Amino acid sequence: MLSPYRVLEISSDATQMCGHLFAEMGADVVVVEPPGGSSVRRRPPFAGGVAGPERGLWWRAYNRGKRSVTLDLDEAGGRRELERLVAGAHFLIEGEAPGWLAARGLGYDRLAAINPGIIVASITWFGQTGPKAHYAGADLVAFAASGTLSTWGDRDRPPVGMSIPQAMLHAGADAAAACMAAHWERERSGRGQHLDVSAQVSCTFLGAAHTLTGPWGDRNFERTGSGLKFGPLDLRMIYESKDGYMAGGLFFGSAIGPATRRLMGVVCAEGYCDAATRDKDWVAYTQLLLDGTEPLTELDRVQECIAAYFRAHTVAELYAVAREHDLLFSPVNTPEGLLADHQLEARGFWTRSFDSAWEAPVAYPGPIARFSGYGRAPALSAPRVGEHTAEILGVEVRPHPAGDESLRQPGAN
Amino acid sequence: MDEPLESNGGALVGLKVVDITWALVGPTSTRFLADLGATVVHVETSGYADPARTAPPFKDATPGPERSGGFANFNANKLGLTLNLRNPVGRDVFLRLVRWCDVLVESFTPRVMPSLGLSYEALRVENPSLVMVSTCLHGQTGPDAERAGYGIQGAGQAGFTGFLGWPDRPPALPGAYTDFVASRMASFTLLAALDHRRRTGVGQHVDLSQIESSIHFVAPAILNFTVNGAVAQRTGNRVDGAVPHGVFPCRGEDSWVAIAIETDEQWKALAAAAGRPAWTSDARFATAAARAAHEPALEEEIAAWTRGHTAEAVELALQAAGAPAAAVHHEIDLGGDSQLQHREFWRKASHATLGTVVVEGPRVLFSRTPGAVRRVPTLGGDNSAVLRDLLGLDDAEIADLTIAGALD
Repeated sequence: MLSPYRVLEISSDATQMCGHLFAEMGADVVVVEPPGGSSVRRRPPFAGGVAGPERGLWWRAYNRGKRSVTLDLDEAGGRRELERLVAGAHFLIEGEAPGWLAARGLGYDRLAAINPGIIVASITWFGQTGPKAHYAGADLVAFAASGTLSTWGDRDRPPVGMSIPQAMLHAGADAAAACMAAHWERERSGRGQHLDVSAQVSCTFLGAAHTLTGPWGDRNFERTGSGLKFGPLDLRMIYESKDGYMAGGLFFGSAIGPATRRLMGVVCAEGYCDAATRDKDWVAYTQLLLDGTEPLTELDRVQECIAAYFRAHTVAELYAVAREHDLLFSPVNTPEGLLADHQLEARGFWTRSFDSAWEAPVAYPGPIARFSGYGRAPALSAPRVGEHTAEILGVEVRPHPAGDESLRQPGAN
Repeated sequence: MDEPLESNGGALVGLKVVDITWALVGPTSTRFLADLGATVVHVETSGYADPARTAPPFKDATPGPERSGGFANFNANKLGLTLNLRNPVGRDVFLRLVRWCDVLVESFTPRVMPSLGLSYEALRVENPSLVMVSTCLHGQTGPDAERAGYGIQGAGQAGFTGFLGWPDRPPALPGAYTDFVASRMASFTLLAALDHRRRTGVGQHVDLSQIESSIHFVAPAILNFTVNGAVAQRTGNRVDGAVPHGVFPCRGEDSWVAIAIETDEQWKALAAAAGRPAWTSDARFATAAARAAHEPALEEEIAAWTRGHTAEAVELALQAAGAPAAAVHHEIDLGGDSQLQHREFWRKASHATLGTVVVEGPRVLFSRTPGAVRRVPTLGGDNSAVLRDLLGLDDAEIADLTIAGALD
């Protein structure tokens, strides 16, 4: 769908998701790596636990379907080559520290002079300017500074972050959407612009508007671990099963109270509660608890009945029951569970292959969306270091032949 | 004065969007467009208003359908229209909107739009080059397509919840995590589809499964399982290869600082900033391997230092030395962050009943066509503007619609 467009990606942890999304949509994404290879190649885990430029799982996951050029941007010759590439590119994605490119004469103003249509997305931990622009960043640090980290975990322990890095992935997704918005405008004006993406800000999004708590005059959102809290009500939302966990819990009210009725029907039928418990007024239950008609100890007892039922079954059994009775429960999936999920299987979501270099099976996620009028074969391999340098720098220096007329730059060679 | 149809100079001025979504994914995907100047009509039915209106924070901690910071944040810059899609006259208005727009976004379970006679196939007759985005948890097809679910289920099913929490406790909830990933994916794919239409004249039905698109964020873990047989773990705040890496207690109630040391250089910087140069020569801590072997003891030493200081002081000291650290902001205190202030993260918007409210600004800064944040729609507050100015109906026609119950 985006095949006419050339995306240059000065490869780093910060840029790879943005480039990946463009590659998934068929764009011609070219990673620019230093002669020793992108730092992303050195990020563990590695295939078989053995480090190597083609063995990194992050590199493979997010750089499939891209091409690679090696350039030394600390050398004048490398910078000239980048400028030549910029002349024929539609987007440039970079994640260097603010000022790094400008210090090499490759700041946005210079790139726009070469190609007024170039859209440059700069992705950093805190942004291009400001009191924290030169802060040292990290995944946990970005989440901490965003407010989101404070909302995760148990109240009696420190806030807790995810055990798989995410912050730069959120920033990359924001960058990709912003690039396409700038592109829409470029089609009418012929001009690009500079997009400033901050991982700190991108992570605020996960706070779901709780960032407005202060200005709107509400009480702070407290972290509640594995449940939800409504005033005095503690609602468990993670239930342990025989071999894992299920996500979901008691819901009340007219819209989703009936799901609780169906859940309690199953719990009772299996002998984990009596009929009176099953037949509580789940639609009105919130009010009954809040006005004291129903003691809070009853809520705890009901949740323990549910917990006992869940502990007696496996995730697979419970998910089958949830589907059969239309319950608001889902597995807390592991990668193994995801690969076995019947919905994803039915949708043909996974691309499974065998990597002969790694001597191991691989599985890649399918398309980010399906389109009625577009499809693309999945990419199975990520480029070797500088694999396409000769073909891209030797031959394809002119503006991309499939590019739009309005993007012809004056003075390009 | 509120001039909802006036251009805000943003990159997407001229783009026309109909948004019949609710809650978070759909609305935020089109708010992104509205901030950049797109004309976005957010359609609700008064009998079943957007559940985001029950989302906190509330104005002065008092709930109410027009007092929700969540709704305001997810729908700023849009026009608010009420329509009854089950009323034949209301449905006719909707079809006029479909003919008017470039993009339609809906987030119902797959059978709803066809059951209203509003499938993509039917709407394409009205607008042959329509770009229609249908987003729901599982996608438009498959055995689970009709299964409802909220963010708690989505985050669990897509694999995120399993990565959050302490090894000795059940997983913790990461909020409605898949909503936030899918929102960006929706914005990105609909803009790609629009560009494709511009080049080819062909519209598109976009089937966006929130779980599927979100799985891209755990792709390395999928590979780690298939290639290495690695079982996904929740590890608290520790990570392999970076020690110390965690959240440490500071002076004050529920006050914490996040510290993530990834290199020996950063470790030395931490030791210097903490006034503990001896740490770098302590055999237990001198190398990364040694630190990993003595992680609990190291964490105790660091906590003993951080407990005596405010989180902000620790952040400043460590950052001055070049070590990654940040105070763990509480949501209510986020306004004190100088960097967010610098980026004008909070913007003022006009609101018909609350006067002026604060909403988040656009997350990405555009150097030339940033747009602006101006207003928050109220329930049906822009019915006249939409019907008269966008669809060209006259007062008599609008009166007829109202009488017919089309706007209920």
